[in-house]
Amino acid sequence: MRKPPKPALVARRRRAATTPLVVILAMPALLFLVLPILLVIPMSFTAGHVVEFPPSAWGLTAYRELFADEGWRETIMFSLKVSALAVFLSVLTAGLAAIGLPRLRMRGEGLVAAVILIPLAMPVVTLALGIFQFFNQLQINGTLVGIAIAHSVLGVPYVFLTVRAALSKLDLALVRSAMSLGAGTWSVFRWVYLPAILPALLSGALLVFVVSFDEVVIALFISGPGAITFPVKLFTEVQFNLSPAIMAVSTLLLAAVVLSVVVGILLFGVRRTVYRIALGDGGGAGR
Amino acid sequence: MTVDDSKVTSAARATGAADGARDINVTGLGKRYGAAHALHDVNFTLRDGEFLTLLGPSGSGKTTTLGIIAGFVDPDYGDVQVGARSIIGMPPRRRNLGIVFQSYALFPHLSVAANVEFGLRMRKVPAAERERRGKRMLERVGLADFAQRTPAQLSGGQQQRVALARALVINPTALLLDEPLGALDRRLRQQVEIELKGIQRETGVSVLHVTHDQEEAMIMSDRMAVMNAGRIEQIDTPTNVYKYPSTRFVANFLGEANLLDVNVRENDGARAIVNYADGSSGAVHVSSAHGTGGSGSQGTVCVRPERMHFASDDEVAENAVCGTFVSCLYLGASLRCIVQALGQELIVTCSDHAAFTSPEPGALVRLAWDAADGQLLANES
Ligand SMILES: Nc1ncnc2c1ncn2[C@@H]1O[C@H](COP(=O)(O)OP(=O)(O)OP(=O)(O)O)[C@@H](O)[C@H]1O
Ligand SMILES: [Mg+2]
Repeated sequence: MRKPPKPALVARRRRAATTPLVVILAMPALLFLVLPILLVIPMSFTAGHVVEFPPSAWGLTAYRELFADEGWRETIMFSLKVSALAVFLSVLTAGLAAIGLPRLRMRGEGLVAAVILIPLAMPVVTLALGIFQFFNQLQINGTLVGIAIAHSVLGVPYVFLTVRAALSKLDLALVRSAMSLGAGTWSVFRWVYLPAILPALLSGALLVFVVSFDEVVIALFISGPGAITFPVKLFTEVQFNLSPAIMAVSTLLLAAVVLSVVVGILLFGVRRTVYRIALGDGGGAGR
Repeated sequence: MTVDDSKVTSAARATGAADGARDINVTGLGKRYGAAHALHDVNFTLRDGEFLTLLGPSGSGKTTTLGIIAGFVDPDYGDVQVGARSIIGMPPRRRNLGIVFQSYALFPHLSVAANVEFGLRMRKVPAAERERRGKRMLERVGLADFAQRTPAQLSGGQQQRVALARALVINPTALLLDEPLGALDRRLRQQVEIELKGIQRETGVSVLHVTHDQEEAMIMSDRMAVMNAGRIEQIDTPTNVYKYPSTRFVANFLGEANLLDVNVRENDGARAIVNYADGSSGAVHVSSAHGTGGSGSQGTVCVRPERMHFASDDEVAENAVCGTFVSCLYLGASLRCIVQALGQELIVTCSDHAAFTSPEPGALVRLAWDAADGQLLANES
């Protein structure tokens, strides 16, 4: 149900993109952004045990090392579990908050919304420190659940915002029609609210997943033996044990991201995929 | 549940009609938003099987009235009863009222058939019967072939009919329509007006219809209530409201009106003798049942432009005033003339026939009308 961008706007954007000057100006910026990322690829295909560019000899040592090390697989699995739980928690709480808050019709609505959005503005280190102290009391530092809860605190604002945006486009008459036709609270949710916010929930979930899977500061604070997320391991390895295996794992990660973007483009088309990644806007993705 | 529903309904209607069990009685309704009165002492009865229109300008409180009856808005005072039973405080889903909004509000992710069956699904009607009743309702509105489409694949007029079918399939006590034709273009609108009226007559469902389009109200309604600033100014058949407007507002809102200030000399409640601004005296009908002044008071008389005619000097008339001819517009079937008289511009329309020749601008003319065509209006409070 999202309206396509106004034709005039699209046309202007296209014309602008083909202007030679723009291309010339854009290329260095693009290279500057992408090149450092791409560098890890050749560096991962080395035959030696040191990180160098270009590698003095080509080979697959790094990958053999990587797959031999149980630790990498475990942390990736652990991170996936953390992120999945964080997604579940923030979608549930933020989704309910976005639907329920306007219905309370109370004065403090704006204040509550502001509190929900605080993690967006708060320096992550401050947040991490607070969470660390608090979790110490609860004794959930160094647990999967602990890290997931901390990450869902970061994720809640994203889901809250995307769902709120979707709800602002919801015709109140739909809710009223459903009620007049006999729908109770649950049925109104099931038949009106849920279909309207589902795309927003999905893109919100995607954002939370990315935020959580990528998060290192909080995870570093509250990680513990047996509870180390993938980015934390990457971070500590880089600091204390820089090896080509890190380049290999980065390359694989890069491949996974490129693959999912390609799949996204094949499924939804270029524009919508770019919108989703850039804006996290699931608005009403044509449901 | 295998009995034909239309028989059930008409049986229910037959008993209902006798004791008014399906009438919707609105009494003393009031609603404030902050300091502003959105509604002020609104009273009316939607009789069983009747097509009643709430007509009024934007912001006059039509939607608010509808919302209170449907249960979306809580009134500050007053009562809404179905039969003798108050429904204030009852949740909307238990009121059994069918509602059609201007935006149609079809569920975008459901097929047309699923939309129509929604109310039956909520009532836990078994699937087979649900489909049968939904299908029959779609046939009734002429959309049987569109059952599997989604609302986005329908035209505005078709969506409007789906919304109507969805509201009707639950056998509602009454149908509440909030400007359901507002989004249609003019031609389609006229066609749908006739269709809607036809469906209402067939099903015998009571309809409370909200619009600010006077033509639409005139065509479809059994009765209409003219609303202004949160009050009902007049409620009667379209003919009576047009012919016998009871207030200045009603006279102006419905069609064109010449409003003349008068001194009332005699008033027996049905007929009044009045003096016009130029001192001439005349006889008029007393339009409003209440609130017209007795002898000696100031008043207003309404005369429709088509009820005034140019009279020769020797014609005997119950009301006659002299004035200067200003201009005349030829409108094809009719002529619209402006005459300066009684210190104001009067509008006179007459049908175009061979015998009529337009006077020269500036010429002295005499305007006349029958006592039955002048209406003494209620005094404004
Ligand atoms: N939720 C609200 N909050 C504050 N004021 C409101 C609200 N709803 C309606 N009003 C006011 O109440 C008055 C009546 O509104 P209502 O919607 O009933 O008018 P209406 O006759 O349906 O007009 P329209 O033809 O424009 O739909 C208006 O002055 C409006 O501004
Ligand atoms: Mg309205």
